[in-house]
Amino acid sequence: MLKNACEVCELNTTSDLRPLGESSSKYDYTIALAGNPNTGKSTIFNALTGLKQHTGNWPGKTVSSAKGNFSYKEHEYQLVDLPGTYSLLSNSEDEEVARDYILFGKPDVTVVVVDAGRLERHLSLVLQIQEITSKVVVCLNLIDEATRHGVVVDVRSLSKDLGVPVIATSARKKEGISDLLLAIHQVATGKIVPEKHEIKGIPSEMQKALYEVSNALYSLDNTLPSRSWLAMRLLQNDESISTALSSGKLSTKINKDNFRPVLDLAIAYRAEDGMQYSRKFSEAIFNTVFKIVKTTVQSDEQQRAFRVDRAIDNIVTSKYWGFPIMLLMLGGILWLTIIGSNYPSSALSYLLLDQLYPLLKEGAVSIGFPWWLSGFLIDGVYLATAWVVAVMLPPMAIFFPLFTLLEDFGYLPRVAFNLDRIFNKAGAHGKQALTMSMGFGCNAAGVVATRIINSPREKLIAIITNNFSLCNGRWPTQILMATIFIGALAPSYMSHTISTLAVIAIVVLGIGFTFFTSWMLSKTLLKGQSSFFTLELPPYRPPSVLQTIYTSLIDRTLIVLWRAIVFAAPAGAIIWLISNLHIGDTSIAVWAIDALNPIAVIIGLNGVILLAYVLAIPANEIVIPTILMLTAMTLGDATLGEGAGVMFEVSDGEIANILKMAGWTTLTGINLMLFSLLHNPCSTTIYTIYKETNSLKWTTVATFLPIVYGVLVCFLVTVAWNFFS
Amino acid sequence: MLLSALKKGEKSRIVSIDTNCTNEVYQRFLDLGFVPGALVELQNISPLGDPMAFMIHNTLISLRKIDADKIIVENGKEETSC
Repeated sequence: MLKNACEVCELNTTSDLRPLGESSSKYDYTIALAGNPNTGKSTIFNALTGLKQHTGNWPGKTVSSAKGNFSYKEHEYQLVDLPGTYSLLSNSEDEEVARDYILFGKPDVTVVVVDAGRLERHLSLVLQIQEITSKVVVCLNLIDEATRHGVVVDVRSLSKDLGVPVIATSARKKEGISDLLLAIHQVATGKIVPEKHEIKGIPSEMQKALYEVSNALYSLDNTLPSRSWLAMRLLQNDESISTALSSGKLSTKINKDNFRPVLDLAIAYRAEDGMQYSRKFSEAIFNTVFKIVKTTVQSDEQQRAFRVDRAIDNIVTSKYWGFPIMLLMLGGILWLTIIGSNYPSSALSYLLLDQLYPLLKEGAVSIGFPWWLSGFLIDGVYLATAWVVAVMLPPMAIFFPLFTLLEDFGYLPRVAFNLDRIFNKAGAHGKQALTMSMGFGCNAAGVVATRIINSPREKLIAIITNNFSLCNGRWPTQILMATIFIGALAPSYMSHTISTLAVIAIVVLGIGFTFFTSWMLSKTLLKGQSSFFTLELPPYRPPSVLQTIYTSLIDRTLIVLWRAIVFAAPAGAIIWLISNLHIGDTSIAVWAIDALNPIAVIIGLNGVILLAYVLAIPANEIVIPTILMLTAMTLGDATLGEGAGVMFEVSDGEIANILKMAGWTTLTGINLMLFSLLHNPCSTTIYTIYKETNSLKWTTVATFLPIVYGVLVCFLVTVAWNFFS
Repeated sequence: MLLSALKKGEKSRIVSIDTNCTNEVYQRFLDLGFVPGALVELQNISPLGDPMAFMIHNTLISLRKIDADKIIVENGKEETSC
């Protein structure tokens, strides 16, 4: 990549920055990146390491800690991006990850990223971290947004009040990064020694308890860091801390036996004042925060940006417009995807199938390939791959950027806000709306995203139902079937609209199944009430369109496409092999299709479709190419090319003709759409479910429940269809 | 009165948090800035009536009604016991 003059200029301190990505394993200093959820930690992480962590405008996006390296002024640093946490005082999983790292990982510097516009809330985490370690740099991020909201922060007096360097940044615009690097460097190398901060306003009886427990710890090991904080946690009955101390994890001088009296002392104080300790401590922190904010922040709540956010929220969550707008957004994205992918799809298939394919065949002949080798490689592997590219690339290249824009804008949490009551009634967690939305891109990603749900019961529900979000790999099937069998029934000027509506109906049906299954599970196998749930509705952020398009094309589209290709090539090989290897007079494929056909007909499908779904277990993306290749093969080679298993006619009209020749009806099309929604997750998702649940039982439920639904629904539709026609 | 009894656009100050709620919930409220003395405004109500979005410390936080009922705010048009 070419660098502009400013990037290499010596006066630009970031020119000393060399992002090293994940590569480097040796480093001089470790830097922890902590902060509230949704403050732009991942953006800072990416800016420093050159990695491309997925960023998005919703809290809880980073669910495990990522690591990356960079070098700056002759030192190499490892940066650890911790999960976003509101505090270090409660016992949720992600907060323990963050806290344990700061405490046990002993990073050389802890950078606390705070939202400049919301210091009242975010400074509390800074003060808590300062209780553990004094090597803190505060990164006052989103300073541009704060300015837009009329919030002015006096950075210098904030830094003085806290006793640590405070650096204003706007990570998305890469502003302030060089100052941040310099501050990290100075604290890491000891050129700046931040002050130890004391929380004031702790009641005297509590101070006494703290003092005594902390002194008892001191007598065991006078070099133990963060003593008063550890004492605090012991008084608050934090078991992971008492275990860490008694097992010698924090200090080799402390063991089970000499720690026991300290714990007893803490327990005695705890019995005296119960839970009051943590509450009083929290209140003391907040009072300190308010005092600091009062003197360092000026805000004008009448600012336009506030009113704009408020006005948008009043519309998108309004009683009458909330739901229609959600449907309109969904429909709009689908409609653009369907319309937009039409032309590039035909162009790609013209190029890859009409032009390149015959050339490859001729080439193979001219260099003397035997028929079976050119058949296997070109009719099998190449064709399946070309098909997947032609069918998958355009819709993905349109869908992912559009979805990412919506995600960056901050609309997804509003969807969760609107739908929460239904999830609540279904006994599910409110954040399931977010994981469900992620599922529209990729179910495996949706399953990973369920880590934002703390309750194990609700997490399982979210995992099992994620498959009902129609993932991107299944959209081409939906779009093609809707266009051929439903859109074609309408007059041509309306056909796109009708097809779009049909796909929306399937998506909405999937959401219906999500609610129904969540409800059913929480009444039977996973009994329980929905747990305490809060969700931050982040301010709207104007998405950076060009960057979004670039990263979602590179990061998401190409990765997903690559995965599809990796699975399509072997699938193509298998299709060609089973079409050309014979048992008696019949190919294996025909044997399999004939065997599946009787079952398939009962549920209004056919043997080809079922066989395609077996072959497509690794990736939904290859369903359509497989169906078409198998159909072409069973129709015989007279009309469609040279070898069995060859398929290269691609326009919608041609496909419609071929399928109709093979006996497909509107019912087959509708049932394929339903079955595409309701069948087992792809193997990647199944594996991800196993990793997340660690349970064979729940993986089996998540795999087979949708198939049971699919068979039932297709059967009922077929019965009803035959009854009425 | 209870926090959920606010009308849309109405502001009030937090008096206390129900001490009967679990420590985890209590801590979470504190983390989010729901502390006695804080100014809170009901800004949005979900189309289905629940949850509600409260503006507190310049942040919009969504709470389910059942949880918002654990927070007692000033302003007594009617006294609610809890």
